[in-house]
Amino acid sequence: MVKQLFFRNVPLLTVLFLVLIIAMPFQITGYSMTAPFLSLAAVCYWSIFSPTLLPFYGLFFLGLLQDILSNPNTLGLNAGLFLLVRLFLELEKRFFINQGFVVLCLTLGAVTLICFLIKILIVFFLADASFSINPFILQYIFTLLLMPSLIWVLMYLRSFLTKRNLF
Amino acid sequence: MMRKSIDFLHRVAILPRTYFSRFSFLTFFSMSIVLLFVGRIYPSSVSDVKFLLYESLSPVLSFASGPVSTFHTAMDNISLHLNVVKENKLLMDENLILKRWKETAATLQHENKKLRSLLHFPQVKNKVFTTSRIIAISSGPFYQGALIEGGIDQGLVKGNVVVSGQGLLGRIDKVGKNFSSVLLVTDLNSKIPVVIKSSKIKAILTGDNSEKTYLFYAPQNAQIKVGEEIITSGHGGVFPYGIPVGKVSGFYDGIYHIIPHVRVEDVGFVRVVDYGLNGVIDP
Repeated sequence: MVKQLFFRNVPLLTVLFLVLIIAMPFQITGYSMTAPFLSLAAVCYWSIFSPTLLPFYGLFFLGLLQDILSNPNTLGLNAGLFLLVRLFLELEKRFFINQGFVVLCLTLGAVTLICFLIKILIVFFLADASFSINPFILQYIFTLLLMPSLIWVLMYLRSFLTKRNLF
Repeated sequence: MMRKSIDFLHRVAILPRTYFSRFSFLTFFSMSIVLLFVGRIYPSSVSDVKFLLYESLSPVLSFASGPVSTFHTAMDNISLHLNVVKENKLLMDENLILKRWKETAATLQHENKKLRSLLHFPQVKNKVFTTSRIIAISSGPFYQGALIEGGIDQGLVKGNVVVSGQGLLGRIDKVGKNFSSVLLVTDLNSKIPVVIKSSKIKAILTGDNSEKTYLFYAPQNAQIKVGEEIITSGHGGVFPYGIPVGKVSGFYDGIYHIIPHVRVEDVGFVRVVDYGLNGVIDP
């Protein structure tokens, strides 16, 4: 029972892991400014392939956690983004579900780009002072570069868990 | 009749579940929009709540960052062992230089004490410091901060200066029971009174949530050269005089750009120093 509960929450746990990764004090120059937004990529993937295992309340709290750890002045921004992405991809999943790996990565890259643009717009309207968009651009590029590896890992994980009827 | 009552009760019981499954997206999305606007209207209250939540996550972050710190220490040790001969020579040369400086420093300290006594200069309080580990970095385009181990229980207070071996990192912004939040020098809200070391030109150093900082309120005809050292001026009573902050890297669009000496990603441990200054920071 506990084992099943654990495996049914694997999508949420992977997103949680990727949210926490961003806050880790890796001693890599420039990491904190440009840490890739991999939690969004994971939300995109699970929203297409296992949306029922990614409940809205779970995504809301994970988004809030992401906000607390990286975006303290815009509490609620990532929570809203995660929810929107989940809803949109679940509604349109029939277009994505049978796509090849490359097309899937490109599509998720496009969805991530739209999310980044929404983020920049919201921050632009809410910010009290001017800010540079260079960190956003770099963050998006790093997210795009690491996304194929992440998608591959998640595909392998999902396939592994599905074969053993743990999902 | 009994069956009808049971049916009715069953429908009433599953009503919240039905609402939740149909309207959960709307409910949570509305909550996130409300939070965004509440954060905009009451930023300081939301900031306090955010710090409380951050502090409650601190044990988890501390546990999770342990392997990261261990990894970096291991990598540093491996690098040290691989370069042991070269490091040894560098350390021996540095030791010789430091021994000479030690004698000079002792002479200067004695002379300084005598001059202070002659001029009736007030005694400088001995500073108290704590070494802390950075357990999380909360940095990005909107905020530049870090979470460190150490809080009220360890004697830390708001306004304590956070330094590393190379210079100033920031100051304590919020203090919890066992963890504290550091506002970095590169944050938009960080305003540090500084002085150019060579020319004694005073200015205010501020960040823009990127890796660079900028000099504002320097005199218009100030001649500041690229490469000049910037140190804290001691004005405002928050930072004492003389802490290295950064170097002038350029002059663009009428503003001097400063590269800070210390980058938060490059340090694992910091010193939190209480200089006994009661500046303009609210308790």
